[in-house]
Amino acid sequence: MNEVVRGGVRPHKYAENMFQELEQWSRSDMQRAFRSEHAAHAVLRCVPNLARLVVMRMLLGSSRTCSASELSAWFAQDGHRSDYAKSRSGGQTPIATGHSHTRVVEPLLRLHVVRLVESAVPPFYELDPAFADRMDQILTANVRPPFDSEHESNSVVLDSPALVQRLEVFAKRRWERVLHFLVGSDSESASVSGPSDELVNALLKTRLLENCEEGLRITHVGFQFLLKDTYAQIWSLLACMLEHLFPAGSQHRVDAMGLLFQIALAVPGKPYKLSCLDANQSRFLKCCDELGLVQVGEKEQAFCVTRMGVNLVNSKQEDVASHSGGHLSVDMGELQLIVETNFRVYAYTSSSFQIALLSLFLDMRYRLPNLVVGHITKSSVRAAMSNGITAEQLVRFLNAHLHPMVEKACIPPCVSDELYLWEAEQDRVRTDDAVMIDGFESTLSFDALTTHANEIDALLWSNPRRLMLVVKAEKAEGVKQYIREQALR
Amino acid sequence: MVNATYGTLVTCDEPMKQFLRHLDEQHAPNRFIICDLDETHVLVHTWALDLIREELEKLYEENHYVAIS
Repeated sequence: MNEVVRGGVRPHKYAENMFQELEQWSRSDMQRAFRSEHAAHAVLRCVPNLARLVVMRMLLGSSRTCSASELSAWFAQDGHRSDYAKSRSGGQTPIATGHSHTRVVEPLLRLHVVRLVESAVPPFYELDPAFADRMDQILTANVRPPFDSEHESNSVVLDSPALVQRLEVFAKRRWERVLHFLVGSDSESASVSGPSDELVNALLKTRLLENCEEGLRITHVGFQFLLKDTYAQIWSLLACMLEHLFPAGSQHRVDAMGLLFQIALAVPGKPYKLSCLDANQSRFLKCCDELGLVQVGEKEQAFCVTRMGVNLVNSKQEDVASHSGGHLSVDMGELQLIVETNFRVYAYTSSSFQIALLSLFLDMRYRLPNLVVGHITKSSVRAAMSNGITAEQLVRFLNAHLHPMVEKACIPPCVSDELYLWEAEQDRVRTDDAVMIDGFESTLSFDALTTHANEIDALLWSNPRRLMLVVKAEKAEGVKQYIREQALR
Repeated sequence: MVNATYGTLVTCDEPMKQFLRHLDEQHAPNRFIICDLDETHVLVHTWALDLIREELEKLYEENHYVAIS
Protein backbone atom coordinates (compact mmCIF):
# COMPACT_ATOMS: atom_id res chain seq x y z
CA MET A 1 0.00 0.00 0.00
CA ASN A 2 1.39 3.33 -0.93
CA GLU A 3 -0.04 6.36 0.75
CA VAL A 4 1.50 9.02 -1.40
CA VAL A 5 0.02 8.06 -4.73
CA ARG A 6 -1.21 11.28 -6.32
CA GLY A 7 -3.09 11.47 -9.52
CA GLY A 8 -2.07 7.98 -10.53
CA VAL A 9 -1.66 7.44 -14.23
CA ARG A 10 -0.66 10.46 -16.24
CA PRO A 11 -3.67 11.56 -18.22
CA HIS A 12 -3.59 11.39 -21.97
CA LYS A 13 -3.05 14.89 -23.29
CA TYR A 14 -5.89 16.07 -25.46
CA ALA A 15 -5.64 18.73 -28.11
CA GLU A 16 -6.22 22.27 -26.95
CA ASN A 17 -6.84 23.80 -30.35
CA MET A 18 -7.42 22.91 -33.94
CA PHE A 19 -3.71 22.78 -34.68
CA GLN A 20 -2.95 20.28 -31.96
CA GLU A 21 -5.83 18.13 -33.10
CA LEU A 22 -4.79 18.09 -36.75
CA GLU A 23 -1.18 17.56 -35.80
CA GLN A 24 -2.08 14.04 -34.71
CA TRP A 25 -3.56 13.16 -38.07
CA SER A 26 -1.81 10.98 -40.53
CA ARG A 27 -0.93 12.15 -44.01
CA SER A 28 -3.66 10.12 -45.64
CA ASP A 29 -6.27 11.47 -43.23
CA MET A 30 -5.25 14.99 -44.03
CA GLN A 31 -5.42 14.29 -47.73
CA ARG A 32 -8.90 12.90 -47.28
CA ALA A 33 -9.86 16.02 -45.36
CA PHE A 34 -8.47 18.25 -48.09
CA ARG A 35 -11.19 17.02 -50.40
CA SER A 36 -13.30 19.68 -48.78
CA GLU A 37 -12.43 23.32 -49.24
CA HIS A 38 -13.67 24.01 -45.74
CA ALA A 39 -10.91 21.86 -44.33
CA ALA A 40 -8.32 23.72 -46.36
CA HIS A 41 -9.73 26.99 -45.16
CA ALA A 42 -9.72 25.90 -41.52
CA VAL A 43 -6.18 24.60 -41.80
CA LEU A 44 -5.01 27.85 -43.31
CA ARG A 45 -6.60 29.70 -40.44
CA CYS A 46 -5.04 27.61 -37.71
CA VAL A 47 -1.41 27.99 -38.75
CA PRO A 48 0.71 30.98 -37.64
CA ASN A 49 0.65 34.12 -39.78
CA LEU A 50 4.09 33.65 -41.30
CA ALA A 51 3.34 30.08 -42.28
CA ARG A 52 0.17 31.30 -43.95
CA LEU A 53 2.20 33.81 -45.91
CA VAL A 54 4.54 31.08 -47.08
CA VAL A 55 1.58 29.03 -48.26
CA MET A 56 0.20 31.95 -50.24
CA ARG A 57 3.53 32.62 -51.90
CA MET A 58 4.02 29.00 -52.82
CA LEU A 59 0.49 28.85 -54.12
CA LEU A 60 0.99 31.79 -56.44
CA GLY A 61 4.32 30.51 -57.71
CA SER A 62 4.15 28.64 -60.98
CA SER A 63 5.26 25.22 -59.78
CA ARG A 64 3.88 25.33 -56.25
CA THR A 65 7.21 24.19 -55.03
CA CYS A 66 9.98 26.03 -53.39
CA SER A 67 13.52 24.95 -52.72
CA ALA A 68 14.91 25.19 -49.25
CA SER A 69 17.41 27.86 -50.24
CA GLU A 70 14.71 29.94 -51.89
CA LEU A 71 12.62 29.66 -48.78
CA SER A 72 15.43 30.67 -46.51
CA ALA A 73 15.99 33.71 -48.73
CA TRP A 74 12.45 34.81 -47.95
CA PHE A 75 13.51 35.03 -44.38
CA ALA A 76 16.59 37.22 -44.62
CA GLN A 77 18.56 37.03 -41.43
CA ASP A 78 19.08 40.77 -41.22
CA GLY A 79 18.43 43.95 -43.12
CA HIS A 80 21.86 44.20 -44.69
CA ARG A 81 21.53 41.02 -46.61
CA SER A 82 18.14 41.76 -48.01
CA ASP A 83 19.54 42.90 -51.35
CA TYR A 84 21.45 39.70 -51.70
CA ALA A 85 18.39 37.76 -50.70
CA LYS A 86 16.35 39.66 -53.23
CA SER A 87 18.64 38.70 -56.03
CA ARG A 88 18.57 35.09 -54.97
CA SER A 89 14.85 34.82 -54.56
CA GLY A 90 14.21 36.15 -57.99
CA GLY A 91 13.24 39.65 -57.04
CA GLN A 92 10.86 38.70 -54.28
CA THR A 93 11.21 40.71 -51.13
CA PRO A 94 11.83 38.85 -47.92
CA ILE A 95 8.71 38.18 -45.92
CA ALA A 96 10.28 38.83 -42.61
CA THR A 97 13.66 39.12 -41.03
CA GLY A 98 15.07 37.29 -38.09
CA HIS A 99 13.05 34.11 -38.56
CA SER A 100 14.47 30.75 -39.32
CA HIS A 101 12.61 29.32 -42.30
CA THR A 102 12.62 25.82 -40.86
CA ARG A 103 10.76 27.05 -37.80
CA VAL A 104 8.19 28.77 -39.97
CA VAL A 105 7.62 25.78 -42.22
CA GLU A 106 7.49 23.32 -39.37
CA PRO A 107 3.76 23.73 -38.57
CA LEU A 108 2.98 23.28 -42.26
CA LEU A 109 4.99 20.08 -42.39
CA ARG A 110 3.26 18.79 -39.31
CA LEU A 111 -0.16 19.37 -40.81
CA HIS A 112 1.00 17.77 -44.08
CA VAL A 113 0.15 20.93 -45.98
CA VAL A 114 3.68 21.04 -47.26
CA ARG A 115 5.94 18.13 -47.99
CA LEU A 116 9.70 18.17 -48.05
CA VAL A 117 10.92 16.20 -51.05
CA GLU A 118 14.31 15.13 -49.81
CA SER A 119 15.16 12.75 -52.62
CA ALA A 120 15.43 15.60 -55.10
CA VAL A 121 18.60 17.63 -55.54
CA PRO A 122 18.33 20.25 -54.21
CA PRO A 123 15.54 19.22 -51.81
CA PHE A 124 12.40 21.29 -52.16
CA TYR A 125 9.12 21.90 -50.40
CA GLU A 126 5.94 21.03 -52.20
CA LEU A 127 2.37 22.05 -51.43
CA ASP A 128 -0.06 19.20 -51.07
CA PRO A 129 -1.78 19.09 -54.48
CA ALA A 130 -5.27 18.57 -53.06
CA PHE A 131 -4.75 21.41 -50.64
CA ALA A 132 -3.45 23.66 -53.41
CA ASP A 133 -6.49 22.89 -55.58
CA ARG A 134 -8.83 23.72 -52.72
CA MET A 135 -6.94 26.94 -52.15
CA ASP A 136 -7.38 27.81 -55.80
CA GLN A 137 -11.11 27.39 -55.36
CA ILE A 138 -11.08 29.59 -52.32
CA LEU A 139 -9.07 32.27 -54.07
CA THR A 140 -11.40 32.29 -57.02
CA ALA A 141 -14.33 32.48 -54.62
CA ASN A 142 -15.64 29.26 -56.04
CA VAL A 143 -16.63 27.99 -52.62
CA ARG A 144 -19.81 26.44 -51.38
CA PRO A 145 -21.11 28.06 -48.24
CA PRO A 146 -20.84 25.75 -45.23
CA PHE A 147 -23.56 23.16 -44.68
CA ASP A 148 -24.74 23.50 -48.22
CA SER A 149 -26.21 20.38 -49.66
CA GLU A 150 -26.32 20.06 -53.39
CA HIS A 151 -30.09 19.84 -53.84
CA GLU A 152 -31.44 22.55 -51.67
CA SER A 153 -30.34 26.00 -50.83
CA ASN A 154 -29.72 26.36 -47.16
CA SER A 155 -30.49 29.97 -46.47
CA VAL A 156 -33.79 29.69 -44.72
CA VAL A 157 -34.07 32.80 -42.65
CA LEU A 158 -31.76 35.73 -42.32
CA ASP A 159 -29.96 36.06 -39.05
CA SER A 160 -31.42 38.52 -36.65
CA PRO A 161 -29.46 40.29 -33.93
CA ALA A 162 -31.91 39.03 -31.32
CA LEU A 163 -31.29 35.44 -32.32
CA VAL A 164 -27.53 35.91 -32.17
CA GLN A 165 -27.95 37.37 -28.72
CA ARG A 166 -30.03 34.41 -27.67
CA LEU A 167 -27.42 32.02 -29.01
CA GLU A 168 -24.76 33.86 -27.06
CA VAL A 169 -26.71 33.32 -23.87
CA PHE A 170 -27.29 29.71 -24.80
CA ALA A 171 -23.59 29.03 -25.39
CA LYS A 172 -22.72 30.69 -22.13
CA ARG A 173 -25.30 28.66 -20.22
CA ARG A 174 -24.13 25.45 -21.78
CA TRP A 175 -20.51 25.98 -20.90
CA GLU A 176 -21.30 27.22 -17.43
CA ARG A 177 -23.29 24.07 -16.93
CA VAL A 178 -20.20 22.01 -17.69
CA LEU A 179 -18.07 24.03 -15.30
CA HIS A 180 -20.70 23.91 -12.59
CA PHE A 181 -20.99 20.20 -13.02
CA LEU A 182 -17.24 19.96 -12.69
CA VAL A 183 -17.10 21.76 -9.37
CA GLY A 184 -20.23 19.98 -8.24
CA SER A 185 -22.48 23.00 -7.79
CA ASP A 186 -25.51 21.78 -9.67
CA SER A 187 -27.90 22.97 -6.99
CA GLU A 188 -28.60 26.21 -8.80
CA SER A 189 -29.01 24.74 -12.23
CA ALA A 190 -31.15 21.89 -11.01
CA SER A 191 -33.95 23.00 -13.28
CA VAL A 192 -31.84 22.22 -16.35
CA SER A 193 -30.97 18.65 -17.09
CA GLY A 194 -27.42 17.59 -16.30
CA PRO A 195 -24.80 16.95 -18.94
CA SER A 196 -25.21 13.93 -21.16
CA ASP A 197 -23.52 10.62 -20.45
CA GLU A 198 -21.12 11.29 -23.26
CA LEU A 199 -19.94 14.48 -21.63
CA VAL A 200 -19.68 12.86 -18.21
CA ASN A 201 -17.68 10.08 -19.84
CA ALA A 202 -15.41 12.64 -21.42
CA LEU A 203 -14.90 14.33 -18.06
CA LEU A 204 -14.01 11.00 -16.51
CA LYS A 205 -11.77 10.03 -19.40
CA THR A 206 -9.82 13.26 -19.28
CA ARG A 207 -9.48 12.59 -15.53
CA LEU A 208 -11.03 15.91 -14.67
CA LEU A 209 -13.50 14.04 -12.56
CA GLU A 210 -13.15 10.75 -10.80
CA ASN A 211 -15.48 8.29 -9.23
CA CYS A 212 -15.40 7.95 -5.50
CA GLU A 213 -17.80 6.74 -2.83
CA GLU A 214 -19.81 9.96 -2.75
CA GLY A 215 -20.16 10.04 -6.51
CA LEU A 216 -18.08 12.17 -8.83
CA ARG A 217 -15.46 14.53 -7.60
CA ILE A 218 -12.95 16.87 -9.13
CA THR A 219 -9.30 15.85 -9.42
CA HIS A 220 -6.18 17.97 -9.45
CA VAL A 221 -6.21 17.71 -13.22
CA GLY A 222 -9.69 19.18 -13.10
CA PHE A 223 -8.50 21.95 -10.86
CA GLN A 224 -5.73 22.87 -13.25
CA PHE A 225 -8.23 22.62 -16.07
CA LEU A 226 -10.32 25.34 -14.43
CA LEU A 227 -7.37 27.69 -14.55
CA LYS A 228 -6.96 27.31 -18.32
CA ASP A 229 -8.66 29.57 -20.82
CA THR A 230 -12.07 28.65 -22.10
CA TYR A 231 -11.18 27.63 -25.62
CA ALA A 232 -8.43 25.29 -24.46
CA GLN A 233 -10.94 23.78 -22.05
CA ILE A 234 -13.59 23.26 -24.69
CA TRP A 235 -11.11 21.86 -27.16
CA SER A 236 -9.74 19.27 -24.79
CA LEU A 237 -13.24 18.04 -23.99
CA LEU A 238 -14.20 18.09 -27.64
CA ALA A 239 -11.05 16.19 -28.59
CA CYS A 240 -11.81 13.62 -25.91
CA MET A 241 -15.35 13.10 -27.17
CA LEU A 242 -14.08 12.89 -30.72
CA GLU A 243 -11.57 10.26 -29.67
CA HIS A 244 -14.29 8.38 -27.84
CA LEU A 245 -16.84 8.42 -30.66
CA PHE A 246 -14.54 8.16 -33.65
CA PRO A 247 -11.20 6.39 -33.22
CA ALA A 248 -8.21 8.17 -34.71
CA GLY A 249 -7.44 7.42 -38.33
CA SER A 250 -10.92 6.38 -39.35
CA GLN A 251 -12.96 7.90 -42.11
CA HIS A 252 -15.61 8.74 -39.51
CA ARG A 253 -13.14 10.95 -37.71
CA VAL A 254 -12.45 12.88 -40.89
CA ASP A 255 -16.19 13.23 -41.50
CA ALA A 256 -16.83 14.42 -37.99
CA MET A 257 -14.05 16.96 -38.22
CA GLY A 258 -15.66 18.15 -41.43
CA LEU A 259 -18.41 19.45 -39.21
CA LEU A 260 -15.96 21.54 -37.23
CA PHE A 261 -14.34 22.87 -40.39
CA GLN A 262 -17.72 24.06 -41.56
CA ILE A 263 -18.64 25.50 -38.19
CA ALA A 264 -15.58 27.70 -38.51
CA LEU A 265 -17.01 29.28 -41.65
CA ALA A 266 -20.62 29.38 -40.61
CA VAL A 267 -22.49 32.56 -39.84
CA PRO A 268 -23.55 32.70 -36.19
CA GLY A 269 -27.29 32.78 -35.85
CA LYS A 270 -28.05 31.51 -39.31
CA PRO A 271 -30.13 28.35 -39.27
CA TYR A 272 -28.71 25.42 -41.19
CA LYS A 273 -30.64 22.32 -42.13
CA LEU A 274 -29.88 19.12 -40.28
CA SER A 275 -30.41 17.17 -43.48
CA CYS A 276 -27.11 18.35 -44.92
CA LEU A 277 -25.14 16.37 -42.31
CA ASP A 278 -24.23 12.73 -42.55
CA ALA A 279 -24.73 10.26 -39.70
CA ASN A 280 -21.33 10.80 -38.12
CA GLN A 281 -21.66 14.53 -38.24
CA SER A 282 -25.08 14.35 -36.63
CA ARG A 283 -23.64 12.32 -33.79
CA PHE A 284 -20.86 14.78 -33.34
CA LEU A 285 -23.28 17.68 -33.59
CA LYS A 286 -24.86 16.49 -30.35
CA CYS A 287 -21.49 16.83 -28.60
CA CYS A 288 -21.10 20.31 -29.99
CA ASP A 289 -24.56 21.17 -28.75
CA GLU A 290 -23.58 19.85 -25.35
CA LEU A 291 -20.63 22.24 -25.20
CA GLY A 292 -22.57 25.19 -26.59
CA LEU A 293 -20.91 25.39 -29.99
CA VAL A 294 -24.14 24.92 -31.86
CA GLN A 295 -27.77 24.97 -30.88
CA VAL A 296 -29.89 22.27 -32.34
CA GLY A 297 -33.45 23.44 -32.81
CA GLU A 298 -36.05 21.09 -31.44
CA LYS A 299 -38.91 21.58 -33.84
CA GLU A 300 -37.50 22.88 -37.07
CA GLN A 301 -34.94 20.47 -38.44
CA ALA A 302 -32.18 23.00 -38.23
CA PHE A 303 -29.30 24.13 -36.07
CA CYS A 304 -27.50 27.39 -35.46
CA VAL A 305 -23.82 27.90 -34.85
CA THR A 306 -22.95 30.10 -31.90
CA ARG A 307 -20.23 32.70 -31.96
CA MET A 308 -18.34 30.61 -29.44
CA GLY A 309 -18.31 27.77 -31.96
CA VAL A 310 -16.89 29.94 -34.71
CA ASN A 311 -14.26 31.45 -32.44
CA LEU A 312 -13.33 28.12 -30.97
CA VAL A 313 -12.42 26.50 -34.23
CA ASN A 314 -10.50 29.56 -35.28
CA SER A 315 -8.55 29.88 -32.05
CA LYS A 316 -4.90 29.64 -32.90
CA GLN A 317 -1.78 28.09 -31.47
CA GLU A 318 -0.16 31.41 -30.62
CA ASP A 319 -3.34 32.71 -29.08
CA VAL A 320 -3.27 29.91 -26.60
CA ALA A 321 0.35 30.53 -25.81
CA SER A 322 -0.21 34.19 -25.12
CA HIS A 323 -3.59 33.58 -23.48
CA SER A 324 -5.17 36.21 -25.64
CA GLY A 325 -7.36 33.63 -27.34
CA GLY A 326 -9.72 33.48 -24.45
CA HIS A 327 -11.85 36.53 -25.02
CA LEU A 328 -14.09 34.83 -22.58
CA SER A 329 -17.46 34.70 -24.10
CA VAL A 330 -18.08 32.73 -20.95
CA ASP A 331 -17.85 34.89 -17.92
CA MET A 332 -16.84 32.85 -14.94
CA GLY A 333 -17.42 35.80 -12.69
CA GLU A 334 -15.16 38.24 -10.97
CA LEU A 335 -13.29 36.96 -8.00
CA GLN A 336 -11.34 39.17 -5.67
CA LEU A 337 -9.87 37.74 -2.53
CA ILE A 338 -8.56 39.11 0.69
CA VAL A 339 -6.70 36.54 2.74
CA GLU A 340 -6.06 37.45 6.36
CA THR A 341 -3.32 36.13 8.57
CA ASN A 342 -5.96 34.43 10.70
CA PHE A 343 -6.84 32.22 7.72
CA ARG A 344 -10.05 34.05 7.04
CA VAL A 345 -10.77 34.61 3.36
CA TYR A 346 -13.07 37.34 2.06
CA ALA A 347 -14.09 36.68 -1.49
CA TYR A 348 -15.80 39.42 -3.43
CA THR A 349 -17.86 37.55 -5.95
CA SER A 350 -21.43 36.86 -6.80
CA SER A 351 -20.75 34.03 -9.20
CA SER A 352 -21.97 30.73 -7.91
CA PHE A 353 -19.30 29.03 -9.96
CA GLN A 354 -16.51 30.84 -8.13
CA ILE A 355 -18.18 30.15 -4.82
CA ALA A 356 -18.37 26.48 -5.65
CA LEU A 357 -14.73 26.52 -6.66
CA LEU A 358 -13.75 28.19 -3.40
CA SER A 359 -15.79 25.81 -1.34
CA LEU A 360 -13.57 23.01 -2.62
CA PHE A 361 -10.95 24.12 -0.14
CA LEU A 362 -12.60 26.69 2.12
CA ASP A 363 -14.85 26.22 5.08
CA MET A 364 -17.64 28.60 4.04
CA ARG A 365 -19.13 30.74 6.78
CA TYR A 366 -21.15 33.67 5.52
CA ARG A 367 -22.66 34.56 2.21
CA LEU A 368 -23.67 38.11 1.38
CA PRO A 369 -24.88 39.38 -1.98
CA ASN A 370 -21.42 40.19 -3.29
CA LEU A 371 -19.20 38.65 -0.67
CA VAL A 372 -18.54 35.26 0.80
CA VAL A 373 -16.45 34.64 3.88
CA GLY A 374 -14.72 31.38 4.49
CA HIS A 375 -11.95 29.96 6.58
CA ILE A 376 -8.96 28.03 5.43
CA THR A 377 -9.14 25.20 7.90
CA LYS A 378 -7.07 22.14 8.12
CA SER A 379 -9.94 19.81 7.46
CA SER A 380 -11.17 21.75 4.43
CA VAL A 381 -7.69 21.89 2.95
CA ARG A 382 -7.08 18.23 3.71
CA ALA A 383 -10.29 17.39 1.91
CA ALA A 384 -9.08 19.29 -1.13
CA MET A 385 -5.70 17.65 -0.91
CA SER A 386 -7.19 14.21 -0.73
CA ASN A 387 -8.73 15.10 -4.11
CA GLY A 388 -5.22 15.55 -5.37
CA ILE A 389 -5.12 19.34 -5.34
CA THR A 390 -1.66 20.47 -4.27
CA ALA A 391 -0.71 23.28 -1.91
CA GLU A 392 1.20 24.87 -4.76
CA GLN A 393 -1.97 25.06 -6.83
CA LEU A 394 -3.93 26.54 -3.95
CA VAL A 395 -1.33 29.19 -3.25
CA ARG A 396 -1.12 30.07 -6.92
CA PHE A 397 -4.87 30.26 -7.21
CA LEU A 398 -5.18 32.51 -4.16
CA ASN A 399 -2.36 34.75 -5.36
CA ALA A 400 -3.87 35.00 -8.82
CA HIS A 401 -7.16 36.31 -7.53
CA LEU A 402 -6.05 38.75 -4.86
CA HIS A 403 -8.06 41.90 -4.46
CA PRO A 404 -6.32 44.82 -6.19
CA MET A 405 -6.41 46.81 -2.97
CA VAL A 406 -4.31 44.23 -1.15
CA GLU A 407 -0.92 45.83 -0.58
CA LYS A 408 1.39 42.92 -1.11
CA ALA A 409 0.76 40.88 -4.21
CA CYS A 410 0.71 37.61 -2.33
CA ILE A 411 -1.15 35.91 0.46
CA PRO A 412 0.29 36.16 3.99
CA PRO A 413 3.32 33.87 4.32
CA CYS A 414 1.90 32.23 7.42
CA VAL A 415 -1.04 31.01 5.38
CA SER A 416 0.99 29.72 2.46
CA ASP A 417 3.50 28.09 4.81
CA GLU A 418 0.71 26.37 6.67
CA LEU A 419 -0.72 25.09 3.39
CA TYR A 420 2.66 23.59 2.51
CA LEU A 421 2.98 22.14 6.02
CA TRP A 422 -0.40 20.49 5.80
CA GLU A 423 0.63 19.02 2.51
CA ALA A 424 3.92 17.78 3.94
CA GLU A 425 2.06 16.24 6.86
CA GLN A 426 0.29 13.92 4.46
CA ASP A 427 3.62 12.58 3.33
CA ARG A 428 5.11 12.29 6.79
CA VAL A 429 4.41 8.62 7.00
CA ARG A 430 4.76 6.42 4.01
CA THR A 431 3.75 2.80 4.04
CA ASP A 432 4.56 0.04 1.59
CA ASP A 433 3.57 -3.59 1.64
CA ALA A 434 6.85 -5.31 2.08
CA VAL A 435 8.77 -8.46 2.80
CA MET A 436 11.72 -8.42 5.16
CA ILE A 437 14.49 -10.84 4.34
CA ASP A 438 17.11 -11.66 6.94
CA GLY A 439 19.12 -14.54 8.33
CA PHE A 440 21.86 -14.45 5.72
CA GLU A 441 24.85 -16.53 6.52
CA SER A 442 27.28 -14.67 4.33
CA THR A 443 27.80 -11.10 3.20
CA LEU A 444 28.29 -12.44 -0.29
CA SER A 445 24.77 -13.78 -0.69
CA PHE A 446 23.39 -10.66 0.96
CA ASP A 447 25.22 -8.48 -1.54
CA ALA A 448 24.12 -10.63 -4.45
CA LEU A 449 20.48 -10.42 -3.42
CA THR A 450 20.65 -6.68 -2.75
CA THR A 451 22.07 -6.07 -6.21
CA HIS A 452 19.45 -8.26 -7.80
CA ALA A 453 16.60 -6.63 -5.87
CA ASN A 454 17.88 -3.26 -6.93
CA GLU A 455 17.96 -4.35 -10.55
CA ILE A 456 14.37 -5.49 -10.58
CA ASP A 457 13.37 -2.36 -8.68
CA ALA A 458 12.19 -4.25 -5.64
CA LEU A 459 14.50 -2.94 -2.97
CA LEU A 460 12.96 -0.69 -0.35
CA TRP A 461 15.56 -0.75 2.37
CA SER A 462 18.74 -2.58 3.18
CA ASN A 463 21.31 -2.60 5.91
CA PRO A 464 24.59 -4.33 5.15
CA ARG A 465 25.66 -4.34 8.78
CA ARG A 466 22.62 -6.22 10.02
CA LEU A 467 22.42 -8.22 6.78
CA MET A 468 18.76 -7.38 6.37
CA LEU A 469 16.81 -6.07 3.44
CA VAL A 470 13.22 -5.18 2.75
CA VAL A 471 11.68 -5.65 -0.69
CA LYS A 472 8.32 -4.74 -2.18
CA ALA A 473 5.66 -7.35 -1.53
CA GLU A 474 4.50 -7.39 -5.14
CA LYS A 475 8.00 -8.25 -6.29
CA ALA A 476 8.68 -10.73 -3.48
CA GLU A 477 8.07 -13.77 -5.67
CA GLY A 478 10.83 -12.77 -8.06
CA VAL A 479 13.22 -12.23 -5.18
CA LYS A 480 12.36 -15.57 -3.60
CA GLN A 481 12.85 -17.30 -6.88
CA TYR A 482 16.27 -15.72 -7.16
CA ILE A 483 17.14 -16.96 -3.68
CA ARG A 484 16.13 -20.47 -4.65
CA GLU A 485 17.90 -20.40 -8.02
CA GLN A 486 21.14 -19.08 -6.64
CA ALA A 487 20.78 -21.20 -3.46
CA LEU A 488 21.60 -18.19 -1.33
CA ARG A 489 22.14 -18.78 2.32
CA MET B 1 18.91 -19.92 6.57
CA VAL B 2 17.26 -17.00 4.81
CA ASN B 3 13.94 -15.95 6.29
CA ALA B 4 11.17 -13.88 4.73
CA THR B 5 8.69 -11.97 6.88
CA TYR B 6 5.63 -10.29 5.41
CA GLY B 7 4.55 -6.96 6.79
CA THR B 8 4.36 -3.29 5.96
CA LEU B 9 7.36 -1.04 5.82
CA VAL B 10 6.72 2.34 7.43
CA THR B 11 9.04 5.11 6.33
CA CYS B 12 8.81 8.22 8.46
CA ASP B 13 10.86 10.85 10.26
CA GLU B 14 12.57 10.22 13.57
CA PRO B 15 10.04 11.76 15.96
CA MET B 16 7.33 9.85 14.17
CA LYS B 17 9.16 6.61 14.68
CA GLN B 18 9.46 7.32 18.38
CA PHE B 19 5.75 7.93 18.42
CA LEU B 20 5.18 4.58 16.72
CA ARG B 21 7.31 2.84 19.34
CA HIS B 22 5.36 4.55 22.04
CA LEU B 23 2.12 3.36 20.43
CA ASP B 24 3.53 -0.12 20.22
CA GLU B 25 4.24 -0.18 23.92
CA GLN B 26 0.79 1.11 24.73
CA HIS B 27 -0.77 -1.80 22.91
CA ALA B 28 1.50 -4.08 24.88
CA PRO B 29 0.07 -7.54 24.35
CA ASN B 30 -0.78 -6.84 20.73
CA ARG B 31 2.44 -5.29 19.65
CA PHE B 32 2.51 -4.46 15.99
CA ILE B 33 6.15 -3.65 15.34
CA ILE B 34 7.81 -6.67 13.78
CA CYS B 35 11.24 -5.21 13.46
CA ASP B 36 12.78 -1.87 14.28
CA LEU B 37 14.98 -1.39 11.23
CA ASP B 38 16.64 1.98 11.76
CA GLU B 39 15.85 5.58 12.76
CA THR B 40 13.38 6.13 9.99
CA HIS B 41 12.15 2.64 9.05
CA VAL B 42 9.96 0.21 10.91
CA LEU B 43 8.39 -3.04 9.76
CA VAL B 44 4.89 -3.44 11.21
CA HIS B 45 2.04 -5.89 10.91
CA THR B 46 -0.28 -4.91 8.10
CA TRP B 47 -3.35 -5.25 10.35
CA ALA B 48 -2.12 -2.36 12.47
CA LEU B 49 -2.18 0.18 9.65
CA ASP B 50 -5.68 1.48 10.36
CA LEU B 51 -4.84 1.83 14.02
CA ILE B 52 -1.67 3.73 13.23
CA ARG B 53 -3.49 6.00 10.84
CA GLU B 54 -6.15 6.80 13.42
CA GLU B 55 -3.60 7.56 16.10
CA LEU B 56 -1.65 9.76 13.72
CA GLU B 57 -4.79 11.69 12.88
CA LYS B 58 -5.31 12.25 16.60
CA LEU B 59 -1.75 13.40 17.06
CA TYR B 60 -2.07 15.85 14.19
CA GLU B 61 -5.29 17.20 15.63
CA GLU B 62 -3.70 17.75 19.02
CA ASN B 63 -0.82 19.67 17.53
CA HIS B 64 -2.93 21.85 15.34
CA TYR B 65 -3.73 25.39 16.31
CA VAL B 66 -7.05 26.74 15.17
CA ALA B 67 -6.73 30.49 14.66
CA ILE B 68 -10.43 31.27 14.77
CA SER B 69 -13.47 29.13 14.98
